[in-house]
Amino acid sequence: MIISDIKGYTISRLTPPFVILVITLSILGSIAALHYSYKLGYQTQQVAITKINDEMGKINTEIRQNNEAYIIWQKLLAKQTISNENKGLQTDPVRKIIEDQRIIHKIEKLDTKLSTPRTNPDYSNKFVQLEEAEVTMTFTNFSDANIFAFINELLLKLPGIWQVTSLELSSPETIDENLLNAIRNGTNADVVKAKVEFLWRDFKDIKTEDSPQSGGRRSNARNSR
Amino acid sequence: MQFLQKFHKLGNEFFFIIGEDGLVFSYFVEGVMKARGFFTNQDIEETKDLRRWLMGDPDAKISIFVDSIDQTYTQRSIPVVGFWGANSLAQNRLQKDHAKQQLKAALPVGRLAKGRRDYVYIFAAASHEGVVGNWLKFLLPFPNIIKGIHLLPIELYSVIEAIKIHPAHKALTNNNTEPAPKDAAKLENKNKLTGENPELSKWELILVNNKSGGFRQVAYCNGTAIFTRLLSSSGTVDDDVIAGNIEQEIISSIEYLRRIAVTDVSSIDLYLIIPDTIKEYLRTNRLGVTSISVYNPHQLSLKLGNADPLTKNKDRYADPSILALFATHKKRIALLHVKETRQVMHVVNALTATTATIYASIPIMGILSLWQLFGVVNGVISLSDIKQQLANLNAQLTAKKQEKNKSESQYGKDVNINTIKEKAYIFSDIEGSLISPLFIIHKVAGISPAIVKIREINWQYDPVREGTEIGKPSNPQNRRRNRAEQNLSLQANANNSTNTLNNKPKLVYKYSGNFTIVFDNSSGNYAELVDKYSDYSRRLIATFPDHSAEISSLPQNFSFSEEETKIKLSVNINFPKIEDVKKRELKL
Repeated sequence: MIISDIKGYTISRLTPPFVILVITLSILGSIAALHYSYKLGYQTQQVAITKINDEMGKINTEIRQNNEAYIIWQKLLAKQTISNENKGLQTDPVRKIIEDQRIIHKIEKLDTKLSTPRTNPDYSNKFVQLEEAEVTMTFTNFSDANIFAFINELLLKLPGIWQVTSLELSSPETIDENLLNAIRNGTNADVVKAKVEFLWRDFKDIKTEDSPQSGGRRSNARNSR
Repeated sequence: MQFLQKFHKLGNEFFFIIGEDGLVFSYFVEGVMKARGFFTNQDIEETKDLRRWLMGDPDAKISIFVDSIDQTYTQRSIPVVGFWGANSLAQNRLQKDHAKQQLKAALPVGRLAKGRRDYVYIFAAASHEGVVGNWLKFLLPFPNIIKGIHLLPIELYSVIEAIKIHPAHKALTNNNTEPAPKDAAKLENKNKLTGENPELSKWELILVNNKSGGFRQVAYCNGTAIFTRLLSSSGTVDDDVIAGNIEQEIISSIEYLRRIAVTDVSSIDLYLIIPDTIKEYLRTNRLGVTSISVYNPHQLSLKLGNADPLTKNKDRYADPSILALFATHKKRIALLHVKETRQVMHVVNALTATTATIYASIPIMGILSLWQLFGVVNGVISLSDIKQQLANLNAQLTAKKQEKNKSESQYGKDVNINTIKEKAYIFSDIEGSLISPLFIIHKVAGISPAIVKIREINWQYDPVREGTEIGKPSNPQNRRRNRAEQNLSLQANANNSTNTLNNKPKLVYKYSGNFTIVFDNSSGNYAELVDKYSDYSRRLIATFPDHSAEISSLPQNFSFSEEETKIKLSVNINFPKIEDVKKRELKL
């Protein structure tokens, strides 16, 4: 053979291995593609499983929160001081209850001061805020028992969450004839002087149109009781 | 591999010996001789069979052995420059000594024993013209590839080697003191290449009767062809005359060897491949050699295990037997080319390398395919499993959603659950810190109520988050400051979360109660007072085990006057206990 005739030889020599190579590559490529598709499918399923697991984790958390919240909610409802819908600190009913109790417990010289209501930033949430104000009461009575009963009744009956933050109470060192006459006449009966500071807190619902509704329910501001 | 050989007909080869009298050809299919022939010239009619064979197997490669008379073997000394340097120098000198197109090779022999200890080379050359050129012109147009051209005298040493390796020959020579043939060959090569032990030379002579040219006589020194002579047998018909000529030629050659030897001769072995008709007239005792091995062509074939149906006992010529040996023994001493064959071989070698690479890659790709297939099978199983797992999880998810709906439905209808949950969690955070002072006051008043009256109460309360300083005494100023600090620190977490309490520390509280009490000492008995005081102190601590509770000391000096029947003391109750605060601080 001379070099000018090598073309045909080259083709005939290289054709079989190239055909085999192409076939082998095709088989390898096909199998690799199949493998990749299965791998991809597996990964997709794995992602789906991860998502479901995440979702289940969230649902579990929500279930736990729902159950825990339900127990607390029942406790709140039992106190009869919290309703389904809260508008924050409402002074009118509070003023009335205080006045009623003052009369019942014969509280004298009652002076009530209320600080400006504010929102507690610790509890400024998406749907609910916690409003709070400091209430200072000074009053007198001839008996410390009446004072304690008055405070106790207020704590039980006032709407919202009331916490005594300070209590100063003093009774006279001596009880003389003048004091007894004054008590008898119903005047100047400041045997026991009291100064009570309350921290008054209550929920305030935030009304938003786009607020997500868990379970598709929307508050109608009705007490479920 | 067998498949590949069949596929590419790699095992099919044509062997030619070109001599002065004509061309001997043998056709081998996978090492087995299928055809042989002798052609005196390139005439179309004369070479009809040859053409048929060549055209019949265009993939079979061609090896050509030149047995022409026009061959020269010249001894050359190369100065010491190291063996590889000497080789290069020898090649350069070879190119200068001979024409470019000539078939030529430089064969190392050894080193001179004395003097400069030069390397000795044999420059072998043959003309590419004449009979060789004519036959090359005849063969080149065929599609068969000429894979190499060789000088027959040089390559005939393969015959000697094959004979020496054969066990029958070893037994015949009965020379157990010599190294094994392979080892001997190694030793010879060692001598050739390094020049070690250069004092002794092993000489071998072979004489074969070829159809292509006549009686070819070659002398080897340590395996390298030193000189060759061709005796034409044409015109001589009497075997006894031929035998006499052979004797005379061998004796002359040995005499010549002794003259040209660069080192002392240790042994001279003679190998004769001649027909039996000449053998019987040969007087071997006159030759003066160390050993003689005489075979007829058919015996040679039998001895070398290359017997084929085409060789016969009466064969006079050794060409087919030698070519049969070459067909199985692929090792050649010198591979030569003319320009045309060299160009083709370069392409062929490149193609061979490419093909070999492709074929080598196929098993790798096969393994990769199997690996991928394994992955596919595994993927099918895994996918099935994971789909089942996904289905189970979906079922669990549905159940969980139902459970969630159930947990939400317990609140009743028309309720914003998120609002309720936030309220509940806010309340749960506050709830722990709700403490009524009335409870504490009631407990203090309950300790010895007959002898102790509470005169004044000062109760202070402060809620704090864990981690803030809760051991400090509480006062309105501190309370306000604490609350402001808490608000600032926690405000950052109060954004857009449905429950901002998740990451906040627990809300705890502290309070302190300062009670002014009046101790009844109407009996006026000091010892009794001390007892009452001690009893009260004990009860106070027992009543508030988780508080820091203390009472002020009794006055050091007092009289039993009317005014002092009621002794004023101070009781302090703090929550939490100082020890608990320290423990909590350590824990944090």
